[in-house]
Amino acid sequence: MPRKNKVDYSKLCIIIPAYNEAGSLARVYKAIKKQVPKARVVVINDGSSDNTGEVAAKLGVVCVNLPSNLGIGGSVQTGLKYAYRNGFEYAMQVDGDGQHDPKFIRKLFETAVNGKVDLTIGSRYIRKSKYETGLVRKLGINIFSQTIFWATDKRIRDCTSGFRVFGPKVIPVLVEDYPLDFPEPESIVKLLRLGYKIKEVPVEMKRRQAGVSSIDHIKAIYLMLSIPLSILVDMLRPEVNHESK
Amino acid sequence: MNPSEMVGNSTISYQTQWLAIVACLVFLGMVVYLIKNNRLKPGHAVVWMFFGVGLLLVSVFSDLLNTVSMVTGIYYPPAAFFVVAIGALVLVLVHFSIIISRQEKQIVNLVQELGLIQADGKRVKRGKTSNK
Repeated sequence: MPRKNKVDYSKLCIIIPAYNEAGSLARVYKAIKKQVPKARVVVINDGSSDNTGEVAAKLGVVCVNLPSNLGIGGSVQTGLKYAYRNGFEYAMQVDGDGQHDPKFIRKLFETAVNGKVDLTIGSRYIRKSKYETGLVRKLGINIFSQTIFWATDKRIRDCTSGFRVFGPKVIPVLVEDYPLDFPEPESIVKLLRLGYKIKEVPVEMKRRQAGVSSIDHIKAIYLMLSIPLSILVDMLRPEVNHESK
Repeated sequence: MNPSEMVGNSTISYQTQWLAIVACLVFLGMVVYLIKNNRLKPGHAVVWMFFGVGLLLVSVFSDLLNTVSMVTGIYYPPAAFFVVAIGALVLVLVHFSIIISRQEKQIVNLVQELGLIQADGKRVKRGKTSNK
């Protein structure tokens, strides 16, 4: 068990990737601020066609408006660039759709800091969760998890969770090269291959509050086939740790 | 088809050969035209030039096709032509996939930097206004 030290929340930058999340953004932002008032929040408006940018401006939150839609990988990498250039030691990804319960931000961050974990993942599948996962999605996540196990010999139960804390060692690595096609599972494989420490922490997730899920069933089947293949193809690339220290 | 109309020992008729030569010349002319009009970067055009010149050589020296088919053991020489042409096209496609992958990375980087610069600019502007 990590020793419980007092953690400094001003070192944390919370990245909210938001694509057409005008309906839930204000609620998500306020809930985060209530939990961690000292943390910096940055919204990455990923080329939304609704008024996500205006909602963010009204809230007075730092908002990076991307001129075109890059997808979740490109948005999170933008947030990591922001965190890195502004001197934040830790960055946390919290989705703008309200699925990630801000109550768990402190728990995730404390695990990252006290346990010196490089990537802390909020996981739905470590303990029995109230979150109901559809059959197709569950099957997909099991396939991805098994592929990661084959590739790295490490078992990551919730490899598609976007509720994650990036530590000071991995931020510069991911600023340089962040997987853009299937960012969550691919970044796990990348960091494990580079020898970084990854830990899962049990969290509860909610159903989406507004907006439309970007993953429909046909896409889910496509992902089930292409993510394992992509992970295996990734294994062909040599991973070199460019960490300066 | 009258065998006397065939080119040497080849299975290609003179008519087909001339058609192929004219088609290759038109293709090469089109590539040169696109370069002159700045619609095709010379770097990319080189690939198509190689492709066009290769096809032209096969059209002019049609015995080349017989040699290729003999060496590769392909019984029907025109089939050898398709093998070579499809192989060349696949290489061209891989070449363009490489370019697209590189450009995708560059575009993502540009979009990210533009967003970050604009956010920085807004923050500086807000800071200046609040200092007044």
